[in-house]
Amino acid sequence: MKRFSGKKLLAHVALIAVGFFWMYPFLWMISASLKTPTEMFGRGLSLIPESLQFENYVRAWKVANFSGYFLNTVVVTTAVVLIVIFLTSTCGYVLGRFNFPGKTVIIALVVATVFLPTRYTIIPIFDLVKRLGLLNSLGGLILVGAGTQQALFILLFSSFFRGLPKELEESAIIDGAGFLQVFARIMLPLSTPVIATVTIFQFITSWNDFLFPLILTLGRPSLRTLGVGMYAFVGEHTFDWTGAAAGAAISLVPVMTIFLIFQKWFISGVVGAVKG
Amino acid sequence: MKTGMRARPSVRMRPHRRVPQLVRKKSLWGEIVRHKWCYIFLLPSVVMYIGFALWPYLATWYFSLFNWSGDGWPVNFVGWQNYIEILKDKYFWNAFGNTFYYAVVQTIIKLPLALLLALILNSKKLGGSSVYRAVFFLPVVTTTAIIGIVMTFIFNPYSGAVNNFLLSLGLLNRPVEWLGVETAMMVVILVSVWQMTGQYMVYWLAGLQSIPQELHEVAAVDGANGFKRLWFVTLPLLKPVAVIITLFGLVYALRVFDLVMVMTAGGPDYATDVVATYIYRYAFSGETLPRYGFSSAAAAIFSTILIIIAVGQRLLTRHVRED
Repeated sequence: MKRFSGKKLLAHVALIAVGFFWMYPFLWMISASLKTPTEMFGRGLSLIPESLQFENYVRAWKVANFSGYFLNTVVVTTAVVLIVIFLTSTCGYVLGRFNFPGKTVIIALVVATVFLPTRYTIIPIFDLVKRLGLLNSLGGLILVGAGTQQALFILLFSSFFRGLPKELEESAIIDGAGFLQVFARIMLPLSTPVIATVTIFQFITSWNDFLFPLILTLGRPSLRTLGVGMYAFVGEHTFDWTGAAAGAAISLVPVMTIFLIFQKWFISGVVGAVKG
Repeated sequence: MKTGMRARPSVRMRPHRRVPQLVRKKSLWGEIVRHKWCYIFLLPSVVMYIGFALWPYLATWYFSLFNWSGDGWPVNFVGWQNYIEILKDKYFWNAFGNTFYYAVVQTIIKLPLALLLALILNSKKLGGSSVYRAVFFLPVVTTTAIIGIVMTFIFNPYSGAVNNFLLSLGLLNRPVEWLGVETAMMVVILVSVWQMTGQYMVYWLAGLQSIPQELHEVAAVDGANGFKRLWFVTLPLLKPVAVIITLFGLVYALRVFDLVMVMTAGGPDYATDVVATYIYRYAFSGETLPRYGFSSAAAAIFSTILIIIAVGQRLLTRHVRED
């Protein structure tokens, strides 16, 4: 028994050391965001600031416009999540529960999207957004965010709806409910677990998106999302590390918090994604 | 009498056979009308699919046949000229090679590391494994572009934490330019390994948990020690998982853009240039007049290669699962 606890202790010591190393970039970020520039550029390795400089956050939020970037990101992410839930739940419902002519073609198209690398077909996407008159608008960001990569969510909804018993809608139809009522009043409320998974995943994907927001806001800096704003900020203020660290913290803390709250769902969802 | 006996059932059978057939046989149009709501429900998804998946891929090929700077519709048809120019461009092949180098090296480092972590965390006697799991997984959910920028500070030659640490330990006698020509690619790869390992650790953990506990018990009764059990029981049983996640990881890593863009923008001297930054440079960087046709040709070549690899991965994965 003693031998085992010794092994266990060793494993914990090693894991804590590696875990500290793993968390270091985040600790550095928080620490730098609270330091003075002099302390930052000094050679000290200490992670604990001498005094807490909250004005780094004020500077990032107000002067560097992270308040605007934050708002843009929240608006785009929320809209994309809602549109994606609408698109994938309707599509998944129909594919999971009905046999209609042409179903196999639609399923083949859905599966084919998994193979399409949208990051390499950015020119026609950019061109399309431009032709729709949505370049340099949040609408363009939302449309592209909602339009790319949803095959997995459609498959999630479709397999969930397929598993529900047939009697559910039969009694509703006898009561006179139409197609829309059955979907909106009975099916959609039952699919809350899938909606939750889709929301968490799409939230993280949209929040972290970089390439499309970058090219779609090249002409309107005020529409930048957090990632793009951060990229532009370090390009313009090369030496404001403490402000940049504060901006990074503003950008990352929301996703990290969401992850820590929904950890279990998130990890099981990630595993499901590779099996799908 | 005998014929009558035979005739009767056949007379009886006929209508029975035919009636269900008549009921079952509906016109295609009738079926479509009956399912009209299905099509209404599908319409938004199909429109988005055509606009943002199908059209972009086909249009990439179409645009690649023109010399076009993005105004109006492409009119200056040049045939395969862009392809000829790309295939002769040593910078394209440099970016091409770098992309594969990045993907392969990143996969080779992150998978064993992730497996090691998974093996340690899978031990039932170890407490608090969900806390460690969260710690190692956390980077996966963070914004790659932001992480990349934070890492350029940490690897900065003058005040970066890495140099400060190594100098204070005496392991270095002068600061190293980590994002210089020689080491930039390795640093970018290590940062992505740090970011992605947690995801693959979770995959390995799922694989480990699917191994029946009895197998370990039987092996232990047979006198196999921990290492032997790992080598002869656990690892062979993880082979299908290994094939699946290796290919999945490679396909995913070949899409690299964000991290390279923010850390080095493909530099210094194209040392970290990947296909996505190469495409971006010709279309959007503003360094030259946009060359959409040329960029599209590079995109068409590389996206087609990625599709082939992804389809191959699917087929192989299915093959592995059926074994």
